[in-house]
Amino acid sequence: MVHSVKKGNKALFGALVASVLVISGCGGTADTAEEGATGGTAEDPVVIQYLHRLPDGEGMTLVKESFERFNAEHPGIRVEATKFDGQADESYAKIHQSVVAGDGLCLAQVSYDAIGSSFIAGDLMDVTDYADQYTGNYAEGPMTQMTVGGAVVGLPQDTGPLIYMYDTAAFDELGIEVPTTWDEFYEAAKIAREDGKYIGTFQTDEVKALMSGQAAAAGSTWFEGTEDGWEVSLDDEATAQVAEVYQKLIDEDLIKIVGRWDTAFTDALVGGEIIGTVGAGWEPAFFLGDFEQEETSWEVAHLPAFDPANPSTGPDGGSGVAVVKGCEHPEEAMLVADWYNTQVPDLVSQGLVVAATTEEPETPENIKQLWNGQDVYSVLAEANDRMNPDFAFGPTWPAVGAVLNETGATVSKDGTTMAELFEAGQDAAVSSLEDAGLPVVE
Amino acid sequence: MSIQSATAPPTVRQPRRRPAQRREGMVGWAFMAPFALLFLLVFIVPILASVKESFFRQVAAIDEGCANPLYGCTTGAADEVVTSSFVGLDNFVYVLTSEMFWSGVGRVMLFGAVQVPVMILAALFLAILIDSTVIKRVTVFRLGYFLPFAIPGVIAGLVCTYLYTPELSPLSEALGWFGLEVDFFSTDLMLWSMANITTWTFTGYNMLIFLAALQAIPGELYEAARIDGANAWQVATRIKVPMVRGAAMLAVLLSIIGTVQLFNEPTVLAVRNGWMGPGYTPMMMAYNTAIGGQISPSGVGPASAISLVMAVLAGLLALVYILVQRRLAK
Repeated sequence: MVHSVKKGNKALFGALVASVLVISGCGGTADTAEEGATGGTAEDPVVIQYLHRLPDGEGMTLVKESFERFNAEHPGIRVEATKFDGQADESYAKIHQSVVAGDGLCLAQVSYDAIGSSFIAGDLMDVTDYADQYTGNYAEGPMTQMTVGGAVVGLPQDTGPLIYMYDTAAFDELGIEVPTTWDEFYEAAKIAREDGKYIGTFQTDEVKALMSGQAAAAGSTWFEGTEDGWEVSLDDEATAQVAEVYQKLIDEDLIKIVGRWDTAFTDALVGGEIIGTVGAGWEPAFFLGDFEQEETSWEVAHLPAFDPANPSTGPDGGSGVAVVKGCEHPEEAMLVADWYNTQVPDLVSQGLVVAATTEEPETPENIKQLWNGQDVYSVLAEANDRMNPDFAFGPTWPAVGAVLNETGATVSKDGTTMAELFEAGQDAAVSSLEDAGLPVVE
Repeated sequence: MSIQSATAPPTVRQPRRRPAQRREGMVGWAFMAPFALLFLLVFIVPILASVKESFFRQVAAIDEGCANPLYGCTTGAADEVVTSSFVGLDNFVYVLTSEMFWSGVGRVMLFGAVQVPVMILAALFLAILIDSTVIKRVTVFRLGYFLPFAIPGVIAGLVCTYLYTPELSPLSEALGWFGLEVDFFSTDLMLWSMANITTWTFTGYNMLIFLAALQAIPGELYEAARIDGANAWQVATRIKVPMVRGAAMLAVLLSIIGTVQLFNEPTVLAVRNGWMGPGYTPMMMAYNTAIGGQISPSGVGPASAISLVMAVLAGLLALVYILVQRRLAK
């Protein structure tokens, strides 16, 4: 075919040669390196539409900027990134509508806890065939989250290991140390309470995320896929341990019951009433913003352990870039997903705890300064390694999470108990799986 | 529907149509066509579609060939992980036996029973005030009362979230001066906090309906009343109120339908009040069943059933209201 091209524009000739080589496959494996896998040409690039929910805030490397770089380096592919401004749940509805309408959406940010539900809604694509060359770039835990029933549906982007954040100055003043176990936490909390302060919170609007993370940290699995179906265990011993610890803290008024996104939280934080709290790994990026200062005495520590011999943590959030059903170029989509998910500095600038293991994340200078000079991201990376790798979110998690959140909002000293909360979750998990026609092992 | 049947003129069949008449008929149909087409497309067809959907449920497609059925069939093309399977009346049985559904229905009924009369009386009062000669600068007041209606329900909900948030609320603060501790978000007050938003939004709208009716009253009636020695109060209560009965009927009917569809305000308020859950009102329940999978069983099927049951309930409510109204009028 190359012979048929006679003289003329050299650039055009070059492009044609390139495209012909690409189209003809040119030997199978060699072409997967960089542009080789692109089905398009500079003139007629493959367009990959990408829907994300990253903050894209001031001082961050904007998603668009990253992809301008990508597009310049990959003439055969053009990525069109769109920011979705609504809530996560709404974005899944949008993705579903895109699939139904077939409007060419190829990549989308999907939280790990929604991968299963999006998959059974028929919104995600099985891209196992293109995944092998990339899986080595990511930590095993997050990669597992992007796999449903043996099918890879995309690549992980960030994680949200539960961590503990506390004010070192306030702790010093009280003469308490950062707690490493829940027993120590209990003792320290009592001392803090005598001074009218709380070293922890029960966040009424983050119940599903925080409590699933705590259960994972305690060693629970909640949803385990077996050959006969789903084993649901929100009623196991590890979860009961979480319930017990929290119930005791709530009953004795040792943690503050408050909504995380409530102004009451901000007031209590800035006012010095809350001097410590369990949070997600993506929170340090903005947690101290309410202080409106450039330096604070706050630091990040590991989650207090349930089993001191084997300190562990669990997930609160974290997302992957999934390939959407109906994407016409899944191979290129995976290349794009891998490229962006390994742009560690870009992602760190967006406040993410990256799932990629290709590069050590460096704590940005302003964040370091804010967190008492601490190398926050190295603690987060450690927390990442401590994450319970077996914890999974079932495919009907949204229904379970909704029940946990609704019930959790009424948890209090004399109201709903923690045990009742997990009971409600267990019932919702079993019935929702059955409703969806999925096998459950009783 | 009641309006159509009440006003339909008796059709008179003509023995033979002349060409001019036929042309006129054609023109009429031509004018009707865009409406009829859109009505069919955006009203009739979706209703039929949802009736059909209500007999199906979206479940995982699991057949014998499934190697790993945890997520439905993930092997092969994975195109058929979920299928719509015919379930007969299961969705309706589910809705009619759902505790979430009936507590939602109970909530909106209670809401409507209190909010609608308050709003209608307020609207009537304002309309009579504006219609009377007491007020100068009628336009300012008319526009002023109507203005809240121009604000989308979601925005109104957001603004009120701030007005109600205990730590921010100027309302709570003001009540605090009198030693009253009011939490607008408490489980007991939430419904009335919501009713407050709705009343604020829609009173002006209903006032306009009354105002239009009031202005249609012939001036001779007032003249006659004055000659008979009626004072302003008597004119208002003996002439104006009875004469706007038809408008009141319409306003109440629209309000009942609006109450049944309660969605914006609770949805916005639920963001900050997790205990309200995804099914606080029946319409929220329908939405969260269809989208996002927060309510199980989820999917278009059960959501359609919820909507249809609610439509029937709304129809029944309207019917009961009309019958009661007729009986009282006699």
